Amino acid sequence: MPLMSGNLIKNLFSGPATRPYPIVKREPFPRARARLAYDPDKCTYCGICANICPAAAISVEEDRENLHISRVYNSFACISCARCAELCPQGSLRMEVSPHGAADAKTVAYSASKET
Amino acid sequence: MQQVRVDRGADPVISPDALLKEVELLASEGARFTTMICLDLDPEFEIIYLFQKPTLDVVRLRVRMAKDEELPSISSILLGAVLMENEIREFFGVKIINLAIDFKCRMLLSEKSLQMPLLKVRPKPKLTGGGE
Amino acid sequence: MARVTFPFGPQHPVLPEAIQLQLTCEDERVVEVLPVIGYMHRGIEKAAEANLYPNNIFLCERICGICSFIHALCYCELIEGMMRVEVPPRAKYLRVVWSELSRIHSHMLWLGLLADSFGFESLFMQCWRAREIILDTLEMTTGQRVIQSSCVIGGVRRDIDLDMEPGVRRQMAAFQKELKSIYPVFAKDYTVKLRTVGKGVLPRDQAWSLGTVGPTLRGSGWADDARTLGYAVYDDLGFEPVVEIGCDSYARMMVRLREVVQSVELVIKALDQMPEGDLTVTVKSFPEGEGLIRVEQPRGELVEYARGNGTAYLERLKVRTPTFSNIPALLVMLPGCELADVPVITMSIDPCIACTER
Repeated sequence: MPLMSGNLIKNLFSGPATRPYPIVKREPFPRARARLAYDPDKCTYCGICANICPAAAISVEEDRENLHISRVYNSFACISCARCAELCPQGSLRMEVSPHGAADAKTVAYSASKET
Repeated sequence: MQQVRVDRGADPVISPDALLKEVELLASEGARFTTMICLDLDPEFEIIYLFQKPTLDVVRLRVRMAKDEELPSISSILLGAVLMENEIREFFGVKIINLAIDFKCRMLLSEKSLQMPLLKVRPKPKLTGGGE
Repeated sequence: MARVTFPFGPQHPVLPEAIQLQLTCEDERVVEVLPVIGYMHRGIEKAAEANLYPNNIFLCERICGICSFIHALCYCELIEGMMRVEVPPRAKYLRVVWSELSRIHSHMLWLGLLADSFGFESLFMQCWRAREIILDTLEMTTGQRVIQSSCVIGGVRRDIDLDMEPGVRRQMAAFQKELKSIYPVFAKDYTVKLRTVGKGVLPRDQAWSLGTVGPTLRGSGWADDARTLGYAVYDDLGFEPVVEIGCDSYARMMVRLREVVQSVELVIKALDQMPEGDLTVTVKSFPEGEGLIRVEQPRGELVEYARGNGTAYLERLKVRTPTFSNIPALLVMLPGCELADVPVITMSIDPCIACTER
């Protein structure tokens, strides 16, 4: 394989091509979509995010008897398309670049609710 | 720009009996099979055959047939059609006969899955002990 | 002579996805082959009928992980054509940039897998390392590496702005440098040639009549590429299909290798010519009537058909993926070859089974 020899020599003298992971971590790009962050203080429970979610991961549940409304977010169903973050009129949803805490944050959560 | 909209009226509509003759004519002109699309227009099926001419244009051919009618397979003329014909038989229950390679309706689905899933009104499933 | 029938796959080190080939052999020679699919059917066509039509973009993207952007582009162009929506020119250029980037990363993945199928591990690693640059570019510009979700009906959702453009050009230059060291290995190396030249011959007339598409067809001397039909802005970029006349695995490999070089040039050209302007137009109506579109995927021609009825739901969405029409070619290529060549020949059509079964 004489055609690969240039590469071989280069690889012999250069360091590893991979990152020594726990010591050096890869910085995500500023546009990366990893996790949906939700700010319940800004939310008006309009239900736009629930209507446009392609994976039906968000739903707004209304309990008319107890005058109670809650927004349910199923992060297992979420496909991180960021359609809701784009269309939220109040800006209460946005995408975070860092996937940290993915394992423990993945729960079906009643993110917020309010009395009506 | 590519012409996307399809004018329904412009396509020839034929019966299943005349299909093989038409396809043979097209094949002798050098056309090849692209795909076929089955539509469930209750109470009949419409099957659109797409062929590609050597000039890269697409020729459309529509077959209208009743749901219990038999459709001859064109895989003896153009072998490339065989997978798509198996798929249509499996998903819609169109009775296609004389297939070159017959997967017996088990190409994509299994015994336990929903049968004929793309029909608008599906027949009631038979109660078998196994399933689910 | 005794005949033995045995399964090749669905789980085999060389196959990236689950397909079974039932091979009938006489000694080391394959005499018959029957491809068996059905290991990963997901019912996407059925699901598309139950979804709102704008949400189908995200469903279509998931038909295939490797060419996801082109699936989304195809669906969007189809619905736009049915609703007579004119997309802003800047969005068309961005669509070309991203679809060419996905073509490069699909071809680099395939070249690596081909090298792996004849046991050239270091070349495999080299290809995938070069592919990482493209995946980083995709993440930088769209936000995700594989499923980009950046195409919507009426335009695109993200922009390659002035701050980002030099970064993309730098990445492309770095990729071209990597490609320069890989290209001659595939084109000239003795072992690569020994394993690919004359293996899996698909004669020119049979390639046509069996309905093969994409590099499988272009490797047999047909200049058939759906990009010449003029979706997006390929007309303005002066696109010419890549054709090889060898009809064997080597020719199909060379088509893909030359397409990578061509795609890098197309990306740079699209960045040069990109006009200013809006990214999306608002779409208010619902799809009606019938539409049929052909676009070029890394693996070949993708045909999509949709039938709308003036509501937010489609009556039927049919996706004919390229591997679906390339599988019958295996019935011609494999009989007569040696058992040791089966992995290389199977890989040479670039089988994408997730696409095939949808």
